[in-house]
Amino acid sequence: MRKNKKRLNKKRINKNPLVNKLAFTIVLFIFSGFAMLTVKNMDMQTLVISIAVPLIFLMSTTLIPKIFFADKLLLSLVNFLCSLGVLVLYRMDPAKGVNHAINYVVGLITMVVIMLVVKNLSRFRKLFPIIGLFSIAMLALPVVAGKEIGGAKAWIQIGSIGFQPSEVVKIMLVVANAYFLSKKKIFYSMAFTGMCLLLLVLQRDLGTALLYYVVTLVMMFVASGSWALLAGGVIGAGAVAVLGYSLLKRIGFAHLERRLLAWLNPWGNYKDAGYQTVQSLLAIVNGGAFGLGLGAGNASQIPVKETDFIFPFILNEFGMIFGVCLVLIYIIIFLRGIAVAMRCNHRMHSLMAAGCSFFIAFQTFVIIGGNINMLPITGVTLPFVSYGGTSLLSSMGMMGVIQGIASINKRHIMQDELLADIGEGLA
Amino acid sequence: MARENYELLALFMRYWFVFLMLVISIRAVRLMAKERHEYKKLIDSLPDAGLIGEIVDITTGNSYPLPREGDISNKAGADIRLIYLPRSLSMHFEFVPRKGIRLSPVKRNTTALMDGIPLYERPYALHGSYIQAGNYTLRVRLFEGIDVPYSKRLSTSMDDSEGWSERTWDFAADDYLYHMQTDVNYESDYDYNYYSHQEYDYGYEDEEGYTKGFDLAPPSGVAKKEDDYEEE
Repeated sequence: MRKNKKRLNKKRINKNPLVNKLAFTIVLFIFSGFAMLTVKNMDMQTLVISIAVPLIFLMSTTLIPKIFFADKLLLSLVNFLCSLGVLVLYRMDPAKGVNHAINYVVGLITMVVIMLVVKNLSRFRKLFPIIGLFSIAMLALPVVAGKEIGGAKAWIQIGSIGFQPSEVVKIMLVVANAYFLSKKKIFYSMAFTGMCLLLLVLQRDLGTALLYYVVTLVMMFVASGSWALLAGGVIGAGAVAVLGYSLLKRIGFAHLERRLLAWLNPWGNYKDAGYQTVQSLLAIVNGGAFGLGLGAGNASQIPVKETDFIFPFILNEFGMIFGVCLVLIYIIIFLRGIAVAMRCNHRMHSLMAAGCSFFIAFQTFVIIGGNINMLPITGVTLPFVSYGGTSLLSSMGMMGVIQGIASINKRHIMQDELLADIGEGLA
Repeated sequence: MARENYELLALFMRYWFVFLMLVISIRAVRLMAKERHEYKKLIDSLPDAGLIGEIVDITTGNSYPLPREGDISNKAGADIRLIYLPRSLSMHFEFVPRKGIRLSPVKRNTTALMDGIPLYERPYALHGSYIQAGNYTLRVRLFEGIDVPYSKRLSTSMDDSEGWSERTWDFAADDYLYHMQTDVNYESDYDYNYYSHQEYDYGYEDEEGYTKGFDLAPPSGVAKKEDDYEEE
């Protein structure tokens, strides 16, 4: 039996030339980008990072799938997005680029750790309800002792280290909801998410609250298959948004009104609330189809360009065609995540993979929608690319969940092949 | 590098970056499509993929494919749908490697049993286990090679002294246990075999109409002699 298993493992890890070609193209892209920055800056640090980042990419995309049976396509694309983030941030501010590279490595380690945890999920079964309580405690922290940034009191500062608990809780929310919904405890799931949403509203972090709400609703729909639940959730959210808007702006949510004004008429409020949106739109238009070239863009005046508005910055320097391809890559990541969820044999795994995929996809949709003025600005980051340690770690953690489940699926398929072989042997 | 020269280089390289991005996107799409196609082909070649055995309703003879995890209930979306199963007897099952199939009831006050053990004790079903839920009596059959411990219950009730084949013993031991659990009192071994194994031909009738030639009897080893039947 062990021999069979080894044989099948070997068969599974057969070299797929298309994956290698994809990895080669990505390495070429990253290397070309950093080579340009090296030519521009002419310093040692840029040279080191131009060698280090492609090396990290190569090592992670070759070693992790071999050791942990991870999905190579997903891993390649996520690594590409992280490397693109390092490249763009390094072009904006070398210090931030280096920080992002460090966060990228820490994110990879986090991903592997979470993969291992997910692969042995049954051992942590008793911890799932505790995760729910821990998440609520984490979200309550900023309400009590939070630091206000950009109108939201969502940050915790411990010495020189600052982090956003709502980013960490994202993974916990998905895991706890998947646990409750797999046990058909919809009420527990609702109560838990309601508690989280309440705490997020108290933090005035409505963008993250929207993400939490939508992801929970989608997970409930996936678990129950009830269109009535989905429709009720959407209509309920719409009603709460309309009623809440008039109520919330009276009790200190001034930034909410500003963002709504900026969305409805950015050009009318060009110098005030609409400044970010207008700068973003101008940067995208200036970039044109092919961009102004890496390091030669003119989007440096966009506020918070390294976090919320990194997408227009990329479009300004790389062009709209590049932007469309970037969106396509996010779509591929989402579809791949959904495929992983659909191939699961366990309901909880399936819900976790679907939840994490949808989290990443919806976050991307919300932030890109905000950048191109399709939606109001919500203050969330572009997954894997935007600057921010907690955000990157949480995105990589979610990818770890998907990868862990993908490796479980592979193990199950291998077992099915073995069973089929045994069955044929008996026949 | 001088600013003007760098700008020229950047203007030239932007086409290169767009080209590479297009290649990355196309390769990613192709790879996804190819992998999906290969997966579909693999799944087509494995008709039992995702399954670990079957559950047989021994009263009707219907068998249901058994996935690694799912529900047994009367709902349309259930993995194993038993339309006359009361909602309170619905259960969730999950395959746990090296342990068996963990059964957990949807309602705490369930009266369903697995080999005589109430379901609220979260028992593990093994190959040959019986699940009694309402009017349904289900038997678990697992594929050869599934990573579960061999049923101790079956092995202890076996006695090779009679020289029966292992398969016969397996069935006999199971049916004996089923007989013990369900409080059904058969008047004779004939009744026992007739009612519990209707699908099999266990004997033949002689010239006088008596059934003879049982090849299966309760494993108690007290199979009646032919004379006993003649007396009856």
